[in-house]
Amino acid sequence: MEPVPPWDRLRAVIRLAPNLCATAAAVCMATLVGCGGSKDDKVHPSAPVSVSGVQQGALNAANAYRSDAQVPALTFQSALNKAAIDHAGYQAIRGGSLTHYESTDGAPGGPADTGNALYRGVGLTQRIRAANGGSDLFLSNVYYEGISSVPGVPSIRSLWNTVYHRLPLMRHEAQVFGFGDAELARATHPGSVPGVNGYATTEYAGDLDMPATITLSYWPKIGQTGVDTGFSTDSETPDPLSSGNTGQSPGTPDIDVCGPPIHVICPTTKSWDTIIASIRVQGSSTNLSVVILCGGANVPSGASRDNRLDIGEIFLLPTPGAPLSPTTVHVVQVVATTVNTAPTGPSNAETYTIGSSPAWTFTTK
Amino acid sequence: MTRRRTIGRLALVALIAAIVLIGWWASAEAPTVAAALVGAPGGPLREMASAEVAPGFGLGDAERALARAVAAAGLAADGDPSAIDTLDAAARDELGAAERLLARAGAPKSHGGPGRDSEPAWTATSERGSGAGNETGSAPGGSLDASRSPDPARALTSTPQGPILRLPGLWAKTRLIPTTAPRSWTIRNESGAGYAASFEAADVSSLRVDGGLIVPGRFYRISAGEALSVQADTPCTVVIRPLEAVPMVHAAPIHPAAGNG
Repeated sequence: MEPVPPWDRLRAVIRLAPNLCATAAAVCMATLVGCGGSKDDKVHPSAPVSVSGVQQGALNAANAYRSDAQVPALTFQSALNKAAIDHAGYQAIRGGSLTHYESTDGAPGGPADTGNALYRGVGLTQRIRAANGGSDLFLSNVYYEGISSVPGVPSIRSLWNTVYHRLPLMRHEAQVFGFGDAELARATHPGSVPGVNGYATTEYAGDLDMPATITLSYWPKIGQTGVDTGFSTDSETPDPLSSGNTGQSPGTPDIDVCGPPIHVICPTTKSWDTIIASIRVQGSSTNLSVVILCGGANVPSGASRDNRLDIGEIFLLPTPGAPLSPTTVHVVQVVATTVNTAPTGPSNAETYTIGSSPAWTFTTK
Repeated sequence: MTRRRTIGRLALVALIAAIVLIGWWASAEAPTVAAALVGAPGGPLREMASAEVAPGFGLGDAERALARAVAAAGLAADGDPSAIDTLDAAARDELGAAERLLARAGAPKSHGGPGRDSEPAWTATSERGSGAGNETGSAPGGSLDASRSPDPARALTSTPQGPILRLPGLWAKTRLIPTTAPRSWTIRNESGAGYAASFEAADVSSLRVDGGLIVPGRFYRISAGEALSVQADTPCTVVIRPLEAVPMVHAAPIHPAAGNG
């Protein structure tokens, strides 16, 4: 173990006393104001953190998005809440980058980081089992985890406005949910968690014995308002628009920003043959440029196959290189046709059309 | 008095500044994460964890082989002779019986014509074209316009026993993953309109639909008010389509004759 310099120890002590400086400053300020101010200038203490309120807000935010996408709502699962809070606290104690793995090197097969007070297990499944008394939630499980540096309820929006971290938020197979961040971890484990920002952790699980039925789903919904203008692709790990993204074929260019990810899930078991997508500003006849990512085994012309996406799943990333214009109505249309798998006879290809009539419009913030 | 008050205020201001500076210094090199980052190396994280499933539910090797043979012979009849080429020896021994069963089951029928399963005007439409009248009965394809798709929250209820269809016109797929053996599900059609379902599995040996054998990709009718039971000890995917999106449909899976020993 490397020796810790005394100044770093002092910094750590100060960080372990969250809000100490702010509180002390506030007390002094109150004293100062009190010297010459009026009684109306009292400094009020901040409201107590409501753990359940933050978690409920996160669930409500996630379910609002799912409702817009016509996907069944998530429900709370207590072990997932516990796992999420503990992993948020683990990351806050560890400091530095976000991590899915509680190992000393941050790798899935790395040495267990048992020196961290909130270590619960290297991998996600281990951590959820630990939170659930040592066993899985269901007989057959799918687990997801999404983490964000944004704390509290707004973290859900930060996760939604992505490609890969949208997946559990919108997929049908995610059924139950848990949420935690550094603030919740600090409240749950007093004295253990430093006052650092974020580390919001979302845990999801699906009971594979309870069949999740997939139906046509897409976001934004027709007429959606308040859609983010842009998505900073560099903010997501892995970066969905990067030549270093090895899960895509053909690879996508290195692009730092684009419009908000548009997501489509179709209930097909066949790969895509063609995907024709258009996005334009309402009233304009000029289509905006768009990057198309899709799941499945095939690579439709003009699209990239992404092995993190399921068969039937499509993402449109508008205007690579720039955000969309604010407070502007955009019109989208997608016509996606699967491959024909019938060896002879008539084609068994399926075509999904979204936005023919009525128009598929959304308005940016 | 005034001078002392002024000195006191200055001292307090200095104290506040010192505290703020200490706070900044403590956090300046703190290993906190940058704002607005999402995800981490190795993500997005998705893991599966299942209890072990004991295979089998009383099916003998011959019954399993016959299921594979019926699937392969049916696929060959539908235009994919390679399905026969990949059969194992046990299933190949059952090919004759499988072909007789398929012949006895007869050809699929068009769903067409009025009746309780007739196509509501607003539901998804199929592309019949050259496929109309074809007797293969394999998955015909079709087209779904989102504006004609019913609200899934009202059209579908998911239960541990399987999906319940409540409104016409829904396109859906579901994956059935057994966690106990035997594991059974039911697809109930309470929509008042006709539906059809097809089944896909890496191993069809144990897959039984209404107790019968299926050919992957073929659609089997679920009439209004009725249900299909599905039993398997390996995962399978079920594709559910409105009857009107399926030009050719089989009335029922294939039931081998039961012996009385």
